[in-house]
Amino acid sequence: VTPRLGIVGAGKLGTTLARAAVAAGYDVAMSGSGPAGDIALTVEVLAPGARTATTEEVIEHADVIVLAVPTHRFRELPHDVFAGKVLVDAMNYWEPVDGVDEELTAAGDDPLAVGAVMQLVARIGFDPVDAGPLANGRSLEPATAFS
Amino acid sequence: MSAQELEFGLDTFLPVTVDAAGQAISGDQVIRNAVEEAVLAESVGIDSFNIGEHYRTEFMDSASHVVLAAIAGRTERIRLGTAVSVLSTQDPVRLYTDFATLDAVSGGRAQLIVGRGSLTDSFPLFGYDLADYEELFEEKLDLLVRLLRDQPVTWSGRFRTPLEDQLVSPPIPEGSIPTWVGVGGSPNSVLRAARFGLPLMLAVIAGRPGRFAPYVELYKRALGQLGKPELPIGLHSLGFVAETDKEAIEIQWPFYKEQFEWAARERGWRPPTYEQFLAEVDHGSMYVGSPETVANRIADAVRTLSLSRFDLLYAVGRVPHEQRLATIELYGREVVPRVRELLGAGVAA
Repeated sequence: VTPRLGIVGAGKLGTTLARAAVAAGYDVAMSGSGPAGDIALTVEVLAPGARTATTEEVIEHADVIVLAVPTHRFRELPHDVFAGKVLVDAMNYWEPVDGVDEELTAAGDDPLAVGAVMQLVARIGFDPVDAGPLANGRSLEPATAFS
Repeated sequence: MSAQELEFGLDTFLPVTVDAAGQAISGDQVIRNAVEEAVLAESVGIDSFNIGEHYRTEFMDSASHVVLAAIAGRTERIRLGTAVSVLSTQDPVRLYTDFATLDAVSGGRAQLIVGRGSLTDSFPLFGYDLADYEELFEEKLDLLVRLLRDQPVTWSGRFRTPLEDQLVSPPIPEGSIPTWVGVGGSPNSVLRAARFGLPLMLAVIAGRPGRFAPYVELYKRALGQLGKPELPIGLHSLGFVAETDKEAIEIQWPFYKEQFEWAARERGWRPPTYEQFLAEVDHGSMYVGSPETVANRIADAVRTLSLSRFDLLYAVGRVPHEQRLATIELYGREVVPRVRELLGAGVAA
């Protein structure tokens, strides 16, 4: 079965992840902040093989969803549609300021979900790091030091 | 693109450098040293000298137009620009007046790269909300482009008072301030540059230059879809030139390490390692080495990304003034002619 990945956000991080996930054999759908057509050229050139869709369709489509939008954009997303999905929050990683690193960190309270995410991260070629429970997610924000 | 049409710039953020004893020199001396560095850049044939915009204690580039005006008075030919102006937190009317005036005093040598900036210090300093990051740039670029291209301007937006049939002085001949959009890798920024019909300046400080080839394709295809003509593409990257590869690496590494350790602490990056630095020097975005090494790496980047402009941010970190002058001298006298030669040979073959 081809694993399905949804990516909300077609910026630097979203398109970089999409390209890596397509190469790793994922069926990838992604959305931007506007109609699907707005990101058509971007996705065709930067993440060929990924499909464009509305955010609702992306969430419907996928088992694992990556939120690759800035934190302040989160309130514009439909909150109720994420039930039962594994959600990867890449939002505290703000691409204009942080750039694209080759290490992604997972924090979560559901070991199965964390496992699914770690598998995703490893398959697409980043270095996965398990950061423990979700409360630790705060330490992943750029301004906070690990200790 | 023939090799002769290539433009070579030098970029600086006016870092507070150290003296021979390793002590930080004063900020006002840093600013006067930058004027001397620009004068040398002109004398060795560099096409443009471009200054950044930061608001922090390690960089003295908060008022680039003043420094550029001083350079204008000491030079005849070199273009005087920014790399980049943080347009998001500037008033486009003020930016216009500063640079239209610089254009006048320099006899038409002003140029701009406008961007959102990769640091966010200017947002709280000037009372802007980071949540408006995207909208601020879009709106201010719209107004700046109108002031440059089509006065009088009638305009309204969210972040400043509207303008009605407004003329802003001094006037400039249409297009006389070349204005580029600086892009750090956001696809939306690439599309925006195409939409406004402005040339694209890629800022790449790590990784293989070829990683950015898809952005070049995105830009060209977006211009095509919009029915706009082809426009120039430039690259801004970091580097240091010395007589030998070994000397260049030995001088640059400790200052690179120090600079990127600060950035790592502040921004949550991993601290740099010597191995990563050497990889960047070998095939990434650090143009460090002898003139021959650096010329070959630049020529490769020019071919890979179809560039018509290459800007070197020379001497990363607190590298002393004397070594900055030495790198400018080698870049102008040896690297630039050699890049032209390499590319000319490529065209002939």
